[in-house]
Amino acid sequence: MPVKVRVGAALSRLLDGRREVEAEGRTVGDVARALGIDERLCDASGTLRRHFNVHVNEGEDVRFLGGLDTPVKDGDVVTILSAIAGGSESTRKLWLRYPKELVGRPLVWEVGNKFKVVTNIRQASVSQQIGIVGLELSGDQEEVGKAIEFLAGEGVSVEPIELDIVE
Amino acid sequence: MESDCGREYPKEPRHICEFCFGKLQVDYDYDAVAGSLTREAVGARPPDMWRYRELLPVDFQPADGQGVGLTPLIRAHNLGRALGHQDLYVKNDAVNFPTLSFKDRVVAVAVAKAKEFGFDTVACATTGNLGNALAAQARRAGTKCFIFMPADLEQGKIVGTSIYGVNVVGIAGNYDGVNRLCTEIADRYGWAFVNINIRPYYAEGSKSFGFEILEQLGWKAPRHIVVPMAGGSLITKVDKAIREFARLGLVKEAGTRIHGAQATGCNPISAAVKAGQEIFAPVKPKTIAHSIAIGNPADGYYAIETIGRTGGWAEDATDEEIVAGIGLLAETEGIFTETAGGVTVAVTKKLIDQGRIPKNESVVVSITGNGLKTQEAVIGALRERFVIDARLDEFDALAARLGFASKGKE
Repeated sequence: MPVKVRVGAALSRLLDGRREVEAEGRTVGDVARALGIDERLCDASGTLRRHFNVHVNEGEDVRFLGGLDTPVKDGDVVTILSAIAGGSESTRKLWLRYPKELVGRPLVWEVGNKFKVVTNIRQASVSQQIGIVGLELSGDQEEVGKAIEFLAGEGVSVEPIELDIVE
Repeated sequence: MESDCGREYPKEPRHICEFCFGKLQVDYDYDAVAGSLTREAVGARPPDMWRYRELLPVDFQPADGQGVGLTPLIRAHNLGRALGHQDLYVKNDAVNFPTLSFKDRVVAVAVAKAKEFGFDTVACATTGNLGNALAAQARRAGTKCFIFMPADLEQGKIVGTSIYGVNVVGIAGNYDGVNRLCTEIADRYGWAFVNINIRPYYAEGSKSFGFEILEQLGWKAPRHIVVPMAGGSLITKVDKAIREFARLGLVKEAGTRIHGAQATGCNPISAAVKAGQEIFAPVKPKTIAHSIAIGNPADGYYAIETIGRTGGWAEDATDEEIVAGIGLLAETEGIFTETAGGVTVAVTKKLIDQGRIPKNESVVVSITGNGLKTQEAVIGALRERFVIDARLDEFDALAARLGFASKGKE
């Protein structure tokens, strides 16, 4: 009997729109690999990304157990939830463009500290002249809005990932 | 579909890669296409853009969008003479169907694809041509339609969309805010936003502009082509069209140099090309060429890459040069183009003058929209109009002043 994997509604995209699937494996990492979602759950170093919480049989967060090496056995249920629970959750994909004066400032870190949002950098190119960062901001809609206002107020150009869509 | 970083995605309403935020490109099975897309097969099909349907991202022959495309390509002797060039052509989407701009092409594909995906509502954010095209074609296709526009747009721009009776929403606020709001609406309502979630398919429609040029030149690629740049998508798709036809053996590789044209008042792409930079700095647009005034172009990076790779160049034109370009095309070839066309003509002139387009190497000037939509731009530059009383002697006096002699009959 394989392992059951359930995801929260906000994460059904992980499983092509399904909320529950089955997979084989002896650890959480095995199961993720079997489903092809390991790169989604983990960063390049193999650490679980901050904005996911994973539980086995509704137990403790696997971060406090063996992480991805946490063992699973047939019949277990692995639950993957978005780290930001409740509220009207919002994820915004944005390009941040730092002018020269701000290139040296750790603004993404500041945002993470000031507001209850998860920041996930997807692409970045920073020189002495200009910094361009592809950032995913998730959290309560209001907090995400405040974070965007903060960045814009500091002088960063904050644009949707589509850039100018009025054509 | 494929991302910049090489990840593959199934066909679905999605426009960026979840991993790298790069844009997605539609890919094709070229071996299969080669079997059915031959010169003979294309020549036997109805005269619209769907004659190249194997290279457009639709799964079925669409029921909508008939009659779109296959606009004239004319040999422009007079304009060539005026610019000191011997082998110049004009591709004229100022007479595209149904709404007189090249946007009819991209919208035809977007609406067909939206219906294939099962959407019942199509939408876009626009300052003019795109809204005209989407409103008209949504009506023909029987889908619901929302058009978002900056609230302070001129009356003339609104008429060409509102006449179709679709939902037109004006949005107050600055331009960045309008952009962000529309992307949020797209997310929340799950509509087919043609230039957001349908964008990879929508953009492919532009290739038909390039395919037609190649077919109309007698299945040959020109040595040069000049393309106006707004979001920067069209220029990349003209390049893709040439590469695809060459790959299928429909035309011979001719080393076509692809040149980009912008308005000086909104030139993030041409400024980057001229400075030899791979990334561009966004600008706040200030030009009469509203239809191509996109300060932070979504495909700017790719446009710069295309120009560099093909050995092309980019130039920009001031408002005065734009108005002069519109007048020149009208007076030499009888084509009335909008401000974007004035940009393209003015930039073609510069590139010929600079020797970047040699006088004897074939060049196609891309005209993408109709002058009747931007009349306010040229009103101050029109030739004097004569007003006389309804008496023959008044006209005789005028004719004499203009150097026309009467034949002396009663």
